[in-house]
Amino acid sequence: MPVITGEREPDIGKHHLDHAVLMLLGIIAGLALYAPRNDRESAPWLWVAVLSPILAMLLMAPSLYAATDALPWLHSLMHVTFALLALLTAYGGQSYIRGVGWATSALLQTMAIVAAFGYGVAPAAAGIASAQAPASAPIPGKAVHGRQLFAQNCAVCHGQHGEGGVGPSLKNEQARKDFAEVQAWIKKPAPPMPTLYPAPLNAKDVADVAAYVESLK
Amino acid sequence: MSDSTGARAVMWAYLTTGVAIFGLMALIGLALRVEQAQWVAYDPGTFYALMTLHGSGMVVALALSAMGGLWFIMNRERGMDRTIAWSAYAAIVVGVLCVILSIFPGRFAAAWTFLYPLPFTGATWPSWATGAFLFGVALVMLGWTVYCVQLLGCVLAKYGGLRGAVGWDLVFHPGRASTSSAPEPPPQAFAALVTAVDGLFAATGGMLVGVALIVHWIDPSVAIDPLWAKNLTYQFGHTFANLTIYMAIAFVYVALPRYANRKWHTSPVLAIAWWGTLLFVATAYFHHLYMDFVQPRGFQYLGQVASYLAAFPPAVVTIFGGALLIYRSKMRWTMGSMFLYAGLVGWLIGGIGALIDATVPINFSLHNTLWVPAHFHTYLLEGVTLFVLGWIFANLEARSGLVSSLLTRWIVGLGIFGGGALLLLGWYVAGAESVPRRYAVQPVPGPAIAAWASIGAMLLIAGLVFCLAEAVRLARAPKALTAS
Repeated sequence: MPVITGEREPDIGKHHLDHAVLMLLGIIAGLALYAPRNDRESAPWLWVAVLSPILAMLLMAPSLYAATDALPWLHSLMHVTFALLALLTAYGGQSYIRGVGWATSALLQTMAIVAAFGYGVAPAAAGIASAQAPASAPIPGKAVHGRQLFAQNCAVCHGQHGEGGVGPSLKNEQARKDFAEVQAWIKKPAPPMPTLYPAPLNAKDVADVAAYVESLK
Repeated sequence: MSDSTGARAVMWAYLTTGVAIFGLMALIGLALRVEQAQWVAYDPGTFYALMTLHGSGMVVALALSAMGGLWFIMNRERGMDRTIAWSAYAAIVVGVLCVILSIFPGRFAAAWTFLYPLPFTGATWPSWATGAFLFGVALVMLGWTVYCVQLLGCVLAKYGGLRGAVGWDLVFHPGRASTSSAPEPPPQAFAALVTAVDGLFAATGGMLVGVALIVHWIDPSVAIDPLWAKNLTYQFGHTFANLTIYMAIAFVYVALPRYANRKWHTSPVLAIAWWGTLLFVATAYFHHLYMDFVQPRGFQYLGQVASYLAAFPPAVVTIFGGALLIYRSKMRWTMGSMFLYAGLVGWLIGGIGALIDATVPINFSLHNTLWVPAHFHTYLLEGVTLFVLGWIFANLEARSGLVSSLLTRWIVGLGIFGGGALLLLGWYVAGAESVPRRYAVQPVPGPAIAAWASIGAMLLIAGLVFCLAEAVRLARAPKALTAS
């Protein structure tokens, strides 16, 4: 079971939902473990209840998955940590003042579920582009990543399929520029095209985007 | 330090810091308007950096002021831990300093409701400025979350859980409510509950998109869905800004009755109205995405309906109720009561402008024109700001036993109301003329309108300066024997 063993699912969004399930278990445990106290404020518990969800969201950073891919046990440890942070969120809130734990738990659970729809997840436009793109020759491996980056950084001006808009059409760009020339252009564009290198695109990203642009027909 | 003195220290720290930031942001606002009037010229990069600071600074300034007053009001209902309030204050102030640092000298200029892939794509500022801004906003959000959690704990503990805090029995089981051991929540407690619950809801979205943006800043390979980010940005931003009004309404509930010598009662109508506000404040933000064709259609309908329905509770209960409270009462008109009542009028006018823009067919024409700043400046400048000033003067008048002269009130009123009206009218007219918002160089007739609106801004600032001088006079007066 990927949720327990830490074996990563290829779908980041679905994996976020797996985390949400783990956190729900932690929340239930935290609310169940809570022992009734006087309703006096306990400042340390307030901070535990507020900081735990933030820490959980930071640990859900998709780039951490690459570090844990080779170490499934580490990924499993992260899953245990998520459940623990959720438990602390619930228990901490209830320990602060009875009833607050439900609110902090709802806050965490909502974040965990909503994260599945955009945190580290490719934009919906890429899915639409792949659904509507005409059948063509198979795209080289790195151009697949390039299509995702194109949708995020270039489509706003050049169109979802490179058909143009504010920026020129990039269809049949390979007739005008070869692979090296496209990379050079992305790295040092002429205004009004914005500079995308070295951030948000690194050298590898530039190559992947260039590969995708060269594949546009 | 006694509990009362300590609580006042918390309130005045929030209020004075908020007012100080407000004053600085007002001057920046004037600088923006005179640039658009083409009286001065500076490069667009500077304009947008100042616009970023003005927008983010103003919202935080008014939020801080309202937070301080509401905290004090609810602390009188049930004593709260001052260290938590101070912690929230410290987080917000440090966050503000980080934001200022990102703009001066970082020249971060993406505005505070930037839409991903901003502020990463096409940035003319260094990456560290982006990071400083994001961390600054994150700290402000952290302070806000701590504040909301404390406020929520206060109302839950005082009024017998959520059921008591929302007045459920008051509406559906009046017999049980009258015999309950938990006290009936006063009107200001409803404002506190809505602030806490919707505030935490806003913090949820803000925290999530904030973390995602910070992670992306650290590792650009982490993807973010732009539509997802836009939804969360406005879910946090709109709700947070909107809640400044509802926090400040507590000032009206507490202070206006003192001037009218009448009580503002809790009633089933008031309770139901605030239930509506609880729901509509959380869902109205979808009206920011009307023009996003990829947004699910159901969300558009929800935004339209919620935006319209959001008008009813304030109009029926607070604005109409406030008018009836003072009708044929022995109303004492002082600086404090003048500001509190005028704030209700400003809220009403801003609300009409908002309803117009929140109508989808009209939004096609008004979207991203100056009509948008027109309505929210009306809310914030002639609504929240006046409520805050009203609360400050109500406290100063009660403490000193003194009131301002009629002449002083006329001078201040002319400046703040007259100048403010001229300033706001400039945006409404320009918006109706389709002058776009967020433009350093505006198309005709923007500059001409900006010219007379700038005169209004100067009159407004003059009025605020007079107001400040009067507040200092009252603050330095000896404490009245009857003051608590």
